[in-house]
Amino acid sequence: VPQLAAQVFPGHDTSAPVNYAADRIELQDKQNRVVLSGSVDVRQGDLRLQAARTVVNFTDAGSLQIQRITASGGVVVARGNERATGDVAVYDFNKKIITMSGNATLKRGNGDTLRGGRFVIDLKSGVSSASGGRVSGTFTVPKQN
Amino acid sequence: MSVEAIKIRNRRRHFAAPGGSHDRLIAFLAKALPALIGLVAAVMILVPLSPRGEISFLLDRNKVAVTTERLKVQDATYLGQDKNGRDFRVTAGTAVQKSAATPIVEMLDLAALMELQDGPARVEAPRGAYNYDTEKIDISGPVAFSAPDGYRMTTRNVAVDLKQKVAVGSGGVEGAVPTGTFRANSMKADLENRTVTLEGNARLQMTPGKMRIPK
Repeated sequence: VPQLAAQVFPGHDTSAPVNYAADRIELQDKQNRVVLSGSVDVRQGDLRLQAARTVVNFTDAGSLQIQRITASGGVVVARGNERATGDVAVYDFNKKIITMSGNATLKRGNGDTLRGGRFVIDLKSGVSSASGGRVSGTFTVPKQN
Repeated sequence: MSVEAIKIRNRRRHFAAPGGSHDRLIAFLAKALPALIGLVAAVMILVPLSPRGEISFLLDRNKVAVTTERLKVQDATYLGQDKNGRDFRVTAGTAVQKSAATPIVEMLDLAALMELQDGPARVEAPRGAYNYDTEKIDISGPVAFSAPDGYRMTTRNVAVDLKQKVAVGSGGVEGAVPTGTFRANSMKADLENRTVTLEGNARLQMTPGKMRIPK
């Protein structure tokens, strides 16, 4: 499986407060779940995730721990000048990774774009790797003049 | 005997002589007094029956002065049952019911205690209006809902339906639950299943690591 790594989203704090905005939010305390629908806009620090629908799973034993955010429906994950898009994204707070799948693309500020079946964005190192199926990428090389 | 004594005797004789003034008086009284007794007896009998002399009176309910504050109760308690037949109680520091026509009781520092599947729950508010027909409390201002194991919801201006165990708010709601703080145009909270549904540019903030609100 070809691996294409690209430096993106370096050093993101996954325990920062998370703000949600949506047309409809349903908090289900007993299922430890929050279901959001209708132009969902999730922000954490300078990471921003937009989608049609998202589900947030958390645990509430001693203190609140968000386990996972699953977004679907035209997902856009943006941070700084980098944007990743796909059909489905899963933000795993424990592993600190975002997995984009379904004709995922990753555009970087300098014009590089990466396309592939599946993307894994590692928030700790900021390295994202595409895997699964055809992977194609277009890179702009800075001109040495 | 002396002349005066004779005179006195003559006067007494004349006075006592039959047909004298005294006899006429006694004769008259002998007739007048029984007649008077009859008359008084007649009056005693006839007067109450005659319509004119109505001694009793009728209190006309409409004319009597009605107090505006129909009922003011200190430490009031209202009991009721929810749709599953479980009891609930609404207690209040002071409760004022404007009039018997409206079953709404304005309450100050009210508390509703109810039974949920997983234990007793409380709704507390400094001010609210309890309608004991529909068994709903219209809360104006802050309200705190607390359920077993530390689940707490604080919000404002909601209507709590004690029968259905649902609290709804519209026209801009905001509040907090263990999961986080929220804001929206309208809200529907199912107290039994502990779900809060926010509609209309809803906002939620979750802070990982925040301690669950202690019980």
